[in-house]
Amino acid sequence: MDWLSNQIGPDWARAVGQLVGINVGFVVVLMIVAYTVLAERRVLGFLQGRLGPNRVGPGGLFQPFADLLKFIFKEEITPAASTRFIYFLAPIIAITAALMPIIVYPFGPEVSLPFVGKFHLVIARFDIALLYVLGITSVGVYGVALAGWSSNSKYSLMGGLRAAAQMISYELSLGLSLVGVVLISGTLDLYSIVEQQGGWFGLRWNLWDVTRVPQVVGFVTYLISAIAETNRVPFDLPEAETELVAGFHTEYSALKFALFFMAEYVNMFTVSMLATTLFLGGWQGPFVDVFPWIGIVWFLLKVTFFLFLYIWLRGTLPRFRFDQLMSFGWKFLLPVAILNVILTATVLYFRWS
Amino acid sequence: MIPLTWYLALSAVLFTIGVVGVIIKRNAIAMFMCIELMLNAVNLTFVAFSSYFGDVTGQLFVFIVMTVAAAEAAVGLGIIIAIFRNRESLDVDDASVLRL
Amino acid sequence: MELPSISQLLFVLFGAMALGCAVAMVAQRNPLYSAISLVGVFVSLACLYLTLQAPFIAAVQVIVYAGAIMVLVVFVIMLLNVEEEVRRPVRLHYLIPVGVLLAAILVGEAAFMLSLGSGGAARVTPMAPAASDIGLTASIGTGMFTKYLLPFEVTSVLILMALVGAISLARQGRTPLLAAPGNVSEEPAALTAGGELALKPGDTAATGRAFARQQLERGEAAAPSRAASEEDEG
Repeated sequence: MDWLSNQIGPDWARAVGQLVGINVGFVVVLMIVAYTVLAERRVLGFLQGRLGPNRVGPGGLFQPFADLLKFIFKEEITPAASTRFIYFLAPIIAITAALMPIIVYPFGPEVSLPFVGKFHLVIARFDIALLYVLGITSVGVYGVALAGWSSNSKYSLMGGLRAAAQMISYELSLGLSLVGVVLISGTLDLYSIVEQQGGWFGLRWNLWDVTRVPQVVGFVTYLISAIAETNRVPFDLPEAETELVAGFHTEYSALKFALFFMAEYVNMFTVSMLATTLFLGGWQGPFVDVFPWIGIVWFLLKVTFFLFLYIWLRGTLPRFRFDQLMSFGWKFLLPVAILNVILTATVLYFRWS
Repeated sequence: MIPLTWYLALSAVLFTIGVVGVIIKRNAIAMFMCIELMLNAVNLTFVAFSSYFGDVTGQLFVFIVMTVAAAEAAVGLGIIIAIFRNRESLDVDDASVLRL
Repeated sequence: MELPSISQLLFVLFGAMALGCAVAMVAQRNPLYSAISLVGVFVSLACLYLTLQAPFIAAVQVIVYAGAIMVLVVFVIMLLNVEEEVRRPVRLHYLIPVGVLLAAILVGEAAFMLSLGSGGAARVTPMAPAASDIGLTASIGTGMFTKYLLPFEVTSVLILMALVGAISLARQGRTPLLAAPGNVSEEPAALTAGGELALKPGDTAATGRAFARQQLERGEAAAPSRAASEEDEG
């Protein structure tokens, strides 16, 4: 790294380092997402008393590649009377907005590689990381709404508008449930929030840290808002097959549908990463100070727990009706999130004064 | 480095494009969007001055302007929807006379 | 001329994107394409704020403008099914050249004032600092809650007013806002000569109640006759 910065200047060297990090992160996320799809089908199968796909490769481990080949070779059917530019733009917005937040998540503490030097296991570390994630989530609504509109079919339009309305309603309680964590951490930078959760043998997480304010209410609110934000069961009325014939991505086929499909699973992954970073201590765990690379293992274990929780909920719960969903978001979850902020602020005020 | 006048020039051009849009367009929602463009050009001027003179007041004012723009968007679009319900058309040339 | 620095390249890139999207927004006839171009303008302006060391304002710009206000505009365009502007002869079509002329005068004035500002001998155009503390969230929060607390509180009251205004504008029909005893009118809606309900615009809730009452009365009138016919058959 020093050699590189002597060659082309420190700014460009850092840019090259971040570019390498982005590529590695991109590949890792796509691999994890592909195997999440497989895991969902297998786990759902076991929950429903059957095996999932287990033919392709040992135990079905090559199934994602078979799915990818199928998506590439499928015929692209474009509806005739659709606005073509928006029809092509919508999946691009969806997948871009899903993949952009991964650069701020800290995967591990400061590690050192032999030729590269010491570096933090986070691609970009800046002051407003949490606001950046919220902003990109807000832009992701466009992918859904424009997809529903441009397909020029009433099922897609209804599904798209419902999904977009659901997403913007639950964004509010999502953002407010994170304010409690920001209050007790004093910063919006995700790496600093994780660093402050060290101690107690690596188990001093924001969820049950009684020396600061334990964020149990915030955690539950965030989890419910996140499930609603990613349009998963029990909040998946806009895209349920029995309701609206697959909703806003009805008219998409082959690779564009694959982009929407991937965008949903990347959203799930991103939201799980945010939950572990803010509430479950990120890469903190036992033995991290002794052997820093084990931070990645703890991080992935916690994220896998959340993904399993998502799949478990899908296999267990029925879905909400749309008006039940909206009234739950506005009339119950938003006041609970505001209450969490007020309680946290009050406890902190009395502790500081 | 970038002199301040570059940012001010860009902001002036954006503002002018907004003004041309408000004069030319006939759709009520399009005119509303051009007004938002003018507000954003002014925001750019504020942030540029705040950055170059090291005063946080400019950015605070931008925050207030954004809030006012959000409130204006909510109420303005509500009015546009109410007008559309009565007239079935969003053309401001048709709505220029006070008749039902 | 030496090689342009990264900051100059970034300014030219984002400035060109903002200008291009703004011109596209004004030139497009389909309002949905105008809305998408405007989102492009907002995102490029957010990137320009980042080059001006104002990260908090950049994030708030994306969250509020691109993520909330424009979503509202896109929803309204989709709900009202706004079509493209038809190229019909505008009544006041002399306005277009007048508009362009006035815009040119505006740009000329701005250029004159800018050249006056930077060409003066005593005044030196300030340069952007490489990194500044002003744009960080902490300094904005400090300013907002100590020195500028009153504008902040007034803004929150303003948003409350906008909320109430938007909800009351979006209500349909003449349902009373507060259903208190003595507040809900129980008289039936007007009936035409044939006994059917005359639907007036905006009459939804009262008409619905009257229609339900009418069905109930018809059902009770039909029930004895149905019971009688069943007795006849059975």
